[in-house]
Amino acid sequence: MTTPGLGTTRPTADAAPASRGVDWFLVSGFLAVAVFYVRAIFFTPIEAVQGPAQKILYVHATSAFVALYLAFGLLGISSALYLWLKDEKLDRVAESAAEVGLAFTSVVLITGPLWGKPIWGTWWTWDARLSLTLFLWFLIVGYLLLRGAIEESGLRARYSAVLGLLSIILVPFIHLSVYLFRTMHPMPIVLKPSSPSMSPEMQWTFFPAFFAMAWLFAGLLRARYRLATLRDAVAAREHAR
Amino acid sequence: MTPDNAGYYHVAYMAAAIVYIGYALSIRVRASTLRKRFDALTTRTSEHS
Repeated sequence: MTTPGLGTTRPTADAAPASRGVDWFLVSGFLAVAVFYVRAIFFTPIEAVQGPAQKILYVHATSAFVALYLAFGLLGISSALYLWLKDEKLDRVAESAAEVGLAFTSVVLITGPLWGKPIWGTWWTWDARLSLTLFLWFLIVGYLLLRGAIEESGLRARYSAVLGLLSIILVPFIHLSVYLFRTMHPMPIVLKPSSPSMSPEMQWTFFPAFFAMAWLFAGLLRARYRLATLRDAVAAREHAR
Repeated sequence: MTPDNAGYYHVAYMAAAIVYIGYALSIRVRASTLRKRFDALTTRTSEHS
């Protein structure tokens, strides 16, 4: 157990480093996403007004749900719990959730403009939802850079837990931005009080796609957590020499 | 008439796949490097003891 903020903290780690073989859980996550790709590309109807570009929804919105609500939700919860319990495992969970969430947010920020160009006629517009999502992406990059800049593990965990908590304050604003501000981004079609505004065939692609993305997230999170554990084990060995 | 804009979603699906696979590979490469270091440290420690 570390002693945060005292300047004498030694990195510790669980006894066994991550396993060496194929990570079948992660591979199964990729297979689930591959199945949803096939379903979305070949077996989902084309939306009449937007055309084939509307299929970007299945990768864009599902990645956004996973990033904002699963990854950054977990970042917030584990950061808050770390500040309370000072358990370094929670710090590793927060670090892993932030990095995996950054990958998902990157996909959101790449696929969004690819959808916006054919539908809105522009790659990017500085409206509230897009701008806040980009700002969150920079905050998470800052969070990860902060982690890399502080060597003392207890101090690093405490500072980054505070920044992690502050960063996720943006999440509800991003969700509500389409109601609070005049924006080009469409209103929610799934996460809203009434039933989803999608045909049943599209729902049969969208919801499995969300579960496939959540599965991939779990696989990546587990792999990233193991990496953090291994890194701490190496640091502990180096410190012991 | 339905617009012909399939190219955008093909690029989006490919970009997403590249990001996710690339990120998974980056975790694997970092883990492999750390594991080699861990093994080297373990060997040195056991030689000294």
